[in-house]
Amino acid sequence: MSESSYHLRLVERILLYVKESYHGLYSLALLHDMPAVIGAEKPPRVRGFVPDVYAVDAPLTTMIIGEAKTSQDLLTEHSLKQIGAFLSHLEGQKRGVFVLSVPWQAARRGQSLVTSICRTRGIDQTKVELVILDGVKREARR
Amino acid sequence: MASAASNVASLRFVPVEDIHLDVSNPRIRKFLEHYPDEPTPEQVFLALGAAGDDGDDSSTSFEKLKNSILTNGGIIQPIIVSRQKDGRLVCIEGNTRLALYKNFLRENVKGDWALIPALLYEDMDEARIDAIRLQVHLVGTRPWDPYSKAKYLYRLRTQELLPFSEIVDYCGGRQKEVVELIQAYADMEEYYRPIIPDDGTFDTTRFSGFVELQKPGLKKAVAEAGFTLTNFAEWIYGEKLYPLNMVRWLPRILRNPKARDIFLKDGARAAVQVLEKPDLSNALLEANVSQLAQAITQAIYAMPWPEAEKIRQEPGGQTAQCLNEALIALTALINPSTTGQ
Repeated sequence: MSESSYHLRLVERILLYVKESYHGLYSLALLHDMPAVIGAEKPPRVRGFVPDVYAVDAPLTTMIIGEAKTSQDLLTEHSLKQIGAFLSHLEGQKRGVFVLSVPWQAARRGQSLVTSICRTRGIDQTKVELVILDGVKREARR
Repeated sequence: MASAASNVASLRFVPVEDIHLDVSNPRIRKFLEHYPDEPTPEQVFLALGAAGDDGDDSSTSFEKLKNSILTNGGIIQPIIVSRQKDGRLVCIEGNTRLALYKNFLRENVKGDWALIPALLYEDMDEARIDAIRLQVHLVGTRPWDPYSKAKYLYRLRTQELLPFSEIVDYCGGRQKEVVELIQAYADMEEYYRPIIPDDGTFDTTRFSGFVELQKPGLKKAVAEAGFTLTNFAEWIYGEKLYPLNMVRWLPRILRNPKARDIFLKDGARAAVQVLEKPDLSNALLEANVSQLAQAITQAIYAMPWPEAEKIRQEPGGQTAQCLNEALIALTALINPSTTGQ
């Protein structure tokens, strides 16, 4: 499977998770970057980066940003800045949720990466709900 | 002058296959002129999709209407049909709706698409047809003001508990716009209403200031400068932010200590005067919009990647702000309907 197809599968995993887990919020506005009909709504730019998935409620109670990373692009400089920007943005929300979808082999690395970014940037980890989707089991913590 | 008979219509459910699409419809005529022979229903359908019909001039409105009809299970407003002297039924108004019904029927889309509600006129003359087209397309219905629209959307969302996708399907628009309007309404009610002395002075025309507040970076800029959204509401109420599109300048004003002081004392219009003005050469000042647009396109294409990345990563930065302001102005110039101006 090509890198881009694999990335799409990881994004699909986030969409499925958001739809299943937040159904109780009588459905959020869910925007994603999957190939769809021409002119479909894409997620907005968040602090300079466009996430793979962006879900929000209005009036604002919950904001979810989802990002899919293959093993190859998880630890790049771009990913560090991108994930840092998303976490900083979510920290200021009433309820911010960051969903990181990675291959199962990279789940631990993903979790460590997020923790390390939070520490470096001084982000209060209790203010962002973190969900790691690895296709095997979901790890979530507050 | 229209005959008396043509002024009386009856409301019927008419078989869609019996009604002919109006190929002389002014909006699609320009597309159909490319076909030497009588256009087929498919060609008319394509032309309607390209031109839009019941709404703004874009294929997006065609999609919106299609989704709205599918969600509702039919149309709410009947189409207008004229029965001509030879018995032929021609759609005078509502060609897109009729074309969609025909398409749904042909494609076996789930639902009842064989009959369409129609106001049926007998042998309408040209003057009457023109009068209807003018009233529908040039005068149109009176749109709701943005505050009332947002209030209604808020109710659908918070009381009727409709999902976003359903609201968008019913009323058209985009999810982001719906979210923005609902949030703007919620902010206005939460922060603006409490500071108004009495309900009599609650000015709904200030609503667009709260819509502007939803744009990226605005709330962050207010918070980072040590203010609250109640302060923002006070600025709107006290006309510190007037005209309301001055809200767009707020991040730059609040970041500049001198401009911020002037703003708090005399308002945004005075504050922008002290913001750094670009030192424009005569060549730039004398260039017209077309030349400037070409120059900016070339400059962007020639921009090194790190520089572009820097702009993206600093949405509150000077360059990003200037680009956003230019983008808003350009969009308003080219497509005013999307900016509400």
